[in-house]
Amino acid sequence: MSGICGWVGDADDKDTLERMLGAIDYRGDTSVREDLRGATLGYRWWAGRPGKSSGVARDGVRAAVCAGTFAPPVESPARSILERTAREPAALDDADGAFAFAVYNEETRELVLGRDPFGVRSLYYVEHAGRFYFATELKQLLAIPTLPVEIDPAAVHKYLTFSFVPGEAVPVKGIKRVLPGHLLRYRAGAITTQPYFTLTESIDEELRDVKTAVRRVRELGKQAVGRRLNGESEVGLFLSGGIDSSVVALWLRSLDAKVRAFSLDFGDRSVEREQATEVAKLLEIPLELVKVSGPDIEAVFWDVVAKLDLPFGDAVTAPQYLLAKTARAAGVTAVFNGEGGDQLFGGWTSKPMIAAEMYGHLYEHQETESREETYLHSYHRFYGLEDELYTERFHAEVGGPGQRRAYLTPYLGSASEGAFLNRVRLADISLKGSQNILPRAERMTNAFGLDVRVPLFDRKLAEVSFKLPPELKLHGACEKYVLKLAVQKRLPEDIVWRRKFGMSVPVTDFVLGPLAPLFEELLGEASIAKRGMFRPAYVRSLLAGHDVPSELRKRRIGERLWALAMLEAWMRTFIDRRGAA
Amino acid sequence: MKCIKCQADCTYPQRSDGRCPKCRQQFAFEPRTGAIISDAGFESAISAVSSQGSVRFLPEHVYYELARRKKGGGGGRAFMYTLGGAGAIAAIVATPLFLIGTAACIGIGAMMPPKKTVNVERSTFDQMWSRWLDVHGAPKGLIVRRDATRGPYRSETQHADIQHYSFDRAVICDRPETVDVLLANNFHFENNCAVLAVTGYPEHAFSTVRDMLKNNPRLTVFALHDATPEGCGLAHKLASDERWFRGSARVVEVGIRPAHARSLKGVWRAATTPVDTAVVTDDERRWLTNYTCELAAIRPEQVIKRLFTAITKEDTLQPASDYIADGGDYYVDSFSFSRNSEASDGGDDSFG
Repeated sequence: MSGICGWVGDADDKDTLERMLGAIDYRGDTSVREDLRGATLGYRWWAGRPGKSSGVARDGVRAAVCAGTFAPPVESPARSILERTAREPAALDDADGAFAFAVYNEETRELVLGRDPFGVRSLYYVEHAGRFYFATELKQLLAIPTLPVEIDPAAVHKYLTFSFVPGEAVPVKGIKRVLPGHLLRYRAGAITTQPYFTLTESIDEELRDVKTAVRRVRELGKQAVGRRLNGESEVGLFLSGGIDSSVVALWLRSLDAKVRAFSLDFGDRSVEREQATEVAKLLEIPLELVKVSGPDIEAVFWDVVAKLDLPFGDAVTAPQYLLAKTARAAGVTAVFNGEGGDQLFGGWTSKPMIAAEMYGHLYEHQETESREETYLHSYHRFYGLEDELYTERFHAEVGGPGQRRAYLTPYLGSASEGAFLNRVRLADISLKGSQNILPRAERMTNAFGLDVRVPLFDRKLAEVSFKLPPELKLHGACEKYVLKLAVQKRLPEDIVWRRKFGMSVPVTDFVLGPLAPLFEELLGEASIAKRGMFRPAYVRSLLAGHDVPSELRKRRIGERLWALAMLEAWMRTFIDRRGAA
Repeated sequence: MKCIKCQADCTYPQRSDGRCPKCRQQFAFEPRTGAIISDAGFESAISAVSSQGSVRFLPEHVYYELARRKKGGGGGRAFMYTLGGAGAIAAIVATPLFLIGTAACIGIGAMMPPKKTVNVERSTFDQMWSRWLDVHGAPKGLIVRRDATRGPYRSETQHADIQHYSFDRAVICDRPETVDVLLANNFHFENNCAVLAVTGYPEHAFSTVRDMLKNNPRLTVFALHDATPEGCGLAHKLASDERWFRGSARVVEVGIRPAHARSLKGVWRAATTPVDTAVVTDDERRWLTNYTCELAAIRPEQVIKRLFTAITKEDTLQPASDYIADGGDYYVDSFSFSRNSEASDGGDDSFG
């Protein structure tokens, strides 16, 4: 998939644009440059791919570059964006897909940046030396030779809680990003932002009838998959064997798409391998099991770091990278996945919040604990463990209290959401979905030039999910109830109604086993001392296979070590070496 | 004696005013004048039950920790038995005169108190605890119920939709204090789990949570209890009582029974009520006639980890009818709280 970059400011700087486009050479074999009065736009893409056209368009004094694709596909995404933004307000009410764009007007000297509704594609910006730069990847901005590159401890602090960096900030001082579903305008040195897409609860009384609700979800789901087929002769599918990817498989087949499926194989630690095989057989989809071992992950670790662009502390990224590598080798150029089912239809992540809601404020130590704080614990990284992990110096650098809670208050404290479940879902969609699951999936597939298609994060499907009565999503303790009803006659009972297991990467086994030498080097005494951010004793105890006594699950050791190692590897790559391989 | 604030060591004359001569910190206890433990020893007991401050606990956990540390008080009985045993051997190989001494030793030993039961009076501990709080304040991790008059519980400000949902599982305890240990340590949050006491605690959420459990037709309920006649009958009650889960959930008995308690000597209590439950074995009935043992005798970290083992591993379950002839329609997990079970996550398995 393609990438864009450019700047507002003097235009005569071919070298910088080449550096910025060259930093994403794995996103295309062809570069396009558009010089304008007071701005420069750049675009990189795979010319000649089916369903693709150049992402640059010009109309008089206005020009646009657009990375990615719309759903449904349009002949020229850049031309479509140019037309949609020609009037005020921009006509983006039905804009959906995976895209990031920039539109510049030579006359008004205004630059407009925008991201797709759910944030599959990213868009960063920085003001430096009289120019306003933008790019779809952080590494493109780090390629600007004179840009100072310094770690932002406050952003790292958030990463250590969420396992990804939320919000506008990134862990490099001065660089920010446009939020998903938002437009940013830059004019005469002033920046304004506004959302063009928000989700709000609006229960549709018609959908209280279960049969009607099931029919609506089935129709919209199938349409969401269809809108993301772009003329490919064959598409790939990451099939986990869980309900979400199985539903996508079913809808792809019902649209007569030619599909090849790929599933992770962790040997005897596989959780859903048999289920994936069962679904593929039922739907007559050829399935390739991709074996993933510790040495496999070690071999690709540094390229995973480089391609992720930002630190993402979930170990699922490396297996996703290996899946994408296999899919590309099999010849497909686009892959579907089942991400989004939990966020849209009430998955397991809502349950701990409901349990906490019933028992909150029972003890003195909980007296002031807010829902936001409860939610932060659900990420299971280092929230509440700051005293164990942070050095005094780092503690002092991360900024004052309330920064992390502030990301959640607009959702958990939303006045427009009547149902508690919908508040939690809004937080899940906006943070876990839009700022973690989607961008990391996009980067892992695009490491091999593959388009990622995420049909459950579809605008119309998401909107109807907020019109459904909440009990049709989480029904008692049954997750994603309406989605299960929608497909129960077409998929095996065991796939539809069993409890979710998740991807379940055996991360602790990997990290304390075959990856131990790599992790010892990344998180050993010398490395930890050099950064001065973390207390060696706690990191050493994790490396020895011990966590805090209150921790119940062994997998947290691997998850926490992975998050720390990924951060260290990211700092070496992006701070120490400015993104150079 | 060491000061717990500045770690300075001092002699009895140096602390004659009850304070550390170096930092002036007051001592809570003075072993020279009859206290059974020093401040440093008491602090060490608190540290042990709170897993160095990372696990929340109740005063009764400290009580049993002290009892464990002081269980040598009944050693006279064991000593006399040992002496008697040695005498018996000597009598066989030497002279009948030893028989007299042997019989005397065994007789004296039989009159001495057993060392299995707690030898710290609860009233003594309560006074010590109160003194500790006065001098050193509440320790980190102490579970304190919030005064309900200081504002509503979160569930009282909840949204209407919450009651439509349910939990993946439930833990029903025989005592409110066990509920406190689980909830204060976030067991419910980490495991999507309802936690209630059969006695109706916590009052503000009890009926709502119990109703929510009816919304899960695939519910598994874990009965967590003390080794008492009432505790050993808890699972049977939950599985057979229509007000609870008769025919509507799978009930698993996971508390401590006499067989588990036998490995926890020094923390037993003398039985005070008759054994009127039918769901115990003859051997258990004999033990329960003399003793009981509270779950609080096990450190909170171990209780939580072993309960987690129980809810995540189901391959050690046996039908209650295999365990006790009149067991009823439920399952018994006699493994998770046994010595043979490791806490779910490795580490130091300091059971009790």
